[in-house]
Amino acid sequence: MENTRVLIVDDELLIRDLLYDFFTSRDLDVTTCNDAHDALKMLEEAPRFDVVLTDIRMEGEDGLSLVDKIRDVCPTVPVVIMTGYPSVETAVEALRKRVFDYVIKPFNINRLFNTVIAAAQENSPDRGTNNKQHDVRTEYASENFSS
Amino acid sequence: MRPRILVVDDELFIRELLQEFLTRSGYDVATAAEAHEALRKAQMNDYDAVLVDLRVSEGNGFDLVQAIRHHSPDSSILPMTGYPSVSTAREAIRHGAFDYVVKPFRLKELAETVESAVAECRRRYESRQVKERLTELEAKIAAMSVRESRQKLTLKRGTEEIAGSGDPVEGIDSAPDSLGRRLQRSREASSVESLQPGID
Repeated sequence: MENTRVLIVDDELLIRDLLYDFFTSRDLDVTTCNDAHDALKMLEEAPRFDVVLTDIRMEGEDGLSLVDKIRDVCPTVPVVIMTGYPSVETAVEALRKRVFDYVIKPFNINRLFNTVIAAAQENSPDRGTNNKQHDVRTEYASENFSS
Repeated sequence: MRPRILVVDDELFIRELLQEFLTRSGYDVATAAEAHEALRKAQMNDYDAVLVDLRVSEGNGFDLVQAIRHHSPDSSILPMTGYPSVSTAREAIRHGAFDYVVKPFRLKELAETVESAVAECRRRYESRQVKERLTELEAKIAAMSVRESRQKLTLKRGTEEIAGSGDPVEGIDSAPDSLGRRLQRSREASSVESLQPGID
């Protein structure tokens, strides 16, 4: 089976490096970039990612606007939002954009890894019917979490 | 058929307001004041959209959301709350809620949200039907191709058997050799006999 391919979009080098090292050590195929513009370019050139993990606050375009553009290029790819500045408004906006999760920084990296894997499973081509897709989300939602 | 809506809220005023307003907007509306009543109704009927107050009288509103989704995966869930927070908004995302309704709300805006939620439920239902039909067709095609492969194999074996029993065709060509070998053996036998007179 091919490794899960993750695109990480964050303007903080520390976060990119941390996630790159941790996910790579867990056999994920990781690509990083530091803004929405580069992320979109990568998705347009090679729309092959299983999950996109993006920060909200970045130089230039923010992560929530990026979600809309991702939907145009790769309509089915699950997006996980990360933010150090959580608010009801951005969480509800993220919900309406049908993101897979809204992760608050600082995060537990093991939980974030599980989130990425669950998101990739939801988008897996062998997920079959909507019921299986629903099962992935239900199982994920039923897990206890804290950020 | 009129789209079906379930309203779950422990406040009588909200239940009555939404029942009257949504009925006038063309929906078939049921209400429940408590989680167990809502679950019983959700088990008996399919609802296009379920409006759930997150502070229902028993337990956590998201436990109810999860139980409803288990029975009706296509239903659009609309959590409602008078106490919006990042953590409940995040839980709404994790449970695949269609929207997050903050009280007090404007009825006009709620009507638009409910309309979109119903459309989304129907889209999900149709998409699931198409996928299930496609899966059935794929299974049928797979079964047909197995049958066809078996038929081809049988046909191939039959052809080989016919080709095998067609040796006489080659035998015709080799008949002189075969006949020659038999004659030779016959001659050899006679010569042995001739060398051993009186063996009888």
